[in-house]
Amino acid sequence: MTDLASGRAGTVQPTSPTKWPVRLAVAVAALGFPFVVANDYQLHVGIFALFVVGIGIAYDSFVGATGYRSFAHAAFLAVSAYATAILSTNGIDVGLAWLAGVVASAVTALAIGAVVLRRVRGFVFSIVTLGFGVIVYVVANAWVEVTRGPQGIYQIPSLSIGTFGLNSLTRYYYAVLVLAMLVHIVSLLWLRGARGRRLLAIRENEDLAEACGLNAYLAKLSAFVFSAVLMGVMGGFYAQYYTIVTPDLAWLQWIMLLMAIVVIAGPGHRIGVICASLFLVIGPEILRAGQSFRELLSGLLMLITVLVSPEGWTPTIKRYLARRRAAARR
Amino acid sequence: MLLHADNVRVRFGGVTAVDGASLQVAAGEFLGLIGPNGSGKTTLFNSITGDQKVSEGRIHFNGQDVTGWAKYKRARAGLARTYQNVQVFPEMLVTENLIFAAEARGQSPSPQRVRELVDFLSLTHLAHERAGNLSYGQKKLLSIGLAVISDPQILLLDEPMAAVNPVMVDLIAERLDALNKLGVTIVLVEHNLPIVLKHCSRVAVLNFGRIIYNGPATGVRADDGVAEAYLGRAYSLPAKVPS
Repeated sequence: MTDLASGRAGTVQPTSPTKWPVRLAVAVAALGFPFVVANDYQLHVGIFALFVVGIGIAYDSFVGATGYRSFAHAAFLAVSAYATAILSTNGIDVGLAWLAGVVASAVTALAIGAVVLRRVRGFVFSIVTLGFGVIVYVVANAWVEVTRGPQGIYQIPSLSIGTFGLNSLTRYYYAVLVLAMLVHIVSLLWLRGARGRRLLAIRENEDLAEACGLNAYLAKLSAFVFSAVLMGVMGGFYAQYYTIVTPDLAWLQWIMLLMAIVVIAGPGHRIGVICASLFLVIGPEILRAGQSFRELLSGLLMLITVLVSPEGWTPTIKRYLARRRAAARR
Repeated sequence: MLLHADNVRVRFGGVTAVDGASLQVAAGEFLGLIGPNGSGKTTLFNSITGDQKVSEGRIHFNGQDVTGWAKYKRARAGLARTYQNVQVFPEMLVTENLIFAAEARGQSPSPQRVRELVDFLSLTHLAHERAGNLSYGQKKLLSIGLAVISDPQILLLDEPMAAVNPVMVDLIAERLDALNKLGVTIVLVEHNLPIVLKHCSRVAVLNFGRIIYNGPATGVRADDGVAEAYLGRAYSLPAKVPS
């Protein structure tokens, strides 16, 4: 697995044979999940968890790769979901509407990134992207003729190809499983080799990267748009699965969820991002708590992470396991 | 001239860090740029490489006016540099650092080229170590490697021997000499005067942002203005009073 933070972004390492049994177990668990759940609600939790894995990976494809903290990605999710919803509820084929949603998300990211990434870095970048997120939220609320305002767009149709349609929870589950896998694999492929090294160099030392001859602006912009495309794919799914899109999709709870995933995992640590995404969805469910508890848990975990393990838990856990292995060999 | 900084002026608010300095560097030259702390050496470097915008003046490189060019574009044109505070990519391996630096300029270095450079920098045993784990001196060597892997036309080195042990100083100096003999033009900012006088054919001295001496390295110790501003009387005395 590509691990940006360990410096292996640019050089894909051969897969350790000892990892295959673990991967096989994960694959069996993921594929068999719909057969072992007790009720539809548990299946819904599984769908939502995989959806969050997808958006977590999409977000980390920019934030983890470049080190830039974006608050705009929830807005990209919303733009795609709204575009899918608006078009598909107005007679456009759902597949085309979904594609249009992805394009809308990408174009929005291109427009924002082209201006912002040229001019600002670090904290200022975060604030500007937060401002963009707020604008999308306000527009979604206020542009009632198009977005139907606070009540949102509902009765969104879902995709069907021939006689096969997304008309059951089980099908939605496998659809989101495929999407999350696709987002993961495409992201890994995209971050391989020279491109991965370029982004890692920006994260490590942007000034030096430019002094070496890198057009950092273009590299960041391409990562920003790529990440928005992945977010757009997940946004289109969201609209079809929930059949309703409201302005809340661009609001703080989603931004905070994305931020919590990356902060807790550690930016650029793919396995950590997947685990943190699953934990932040399934953890509150196991404790039978609701949305508010998830937000509380996210905030609390971020606070503890920043204080105890500021680079995220994945590198800390990896170091701990390495020390244990070394001690066992002695 | 390969490089011509023409009447460069850089102001930070009310402070003029570089005050109309002009510097010409011919291809193949090994130029030393010295001067007291705060005299504007690094700022002049930054102006040449695009890290700092000039308030006035022009930068010409290889016959082109590059004053308005972005930093990365100047680097691609063949202007390479190292920084006073040693800078590498700490999470990348030594070899990855070098591969990236070449790729950033649109090159695709062969494994042999990378290996040769790692050997040249005496980092062979550390080739697959994370750059962040190297010693300070080794990082200095690697930072020179980042600058030279893509065969730049000119190499601007900002105090590459500062805070480095004497053995490493000799090693770095020897490697710079070898690069110069291979045809790389070098401009060296350095406070280690014996090294500057030994290796540089010409020396320019900067004081309060102005060039106060620009001539052969052999004559710098005899210059009254340089003695006054930088070297001190004691250092310049032996050159003025033959034994």
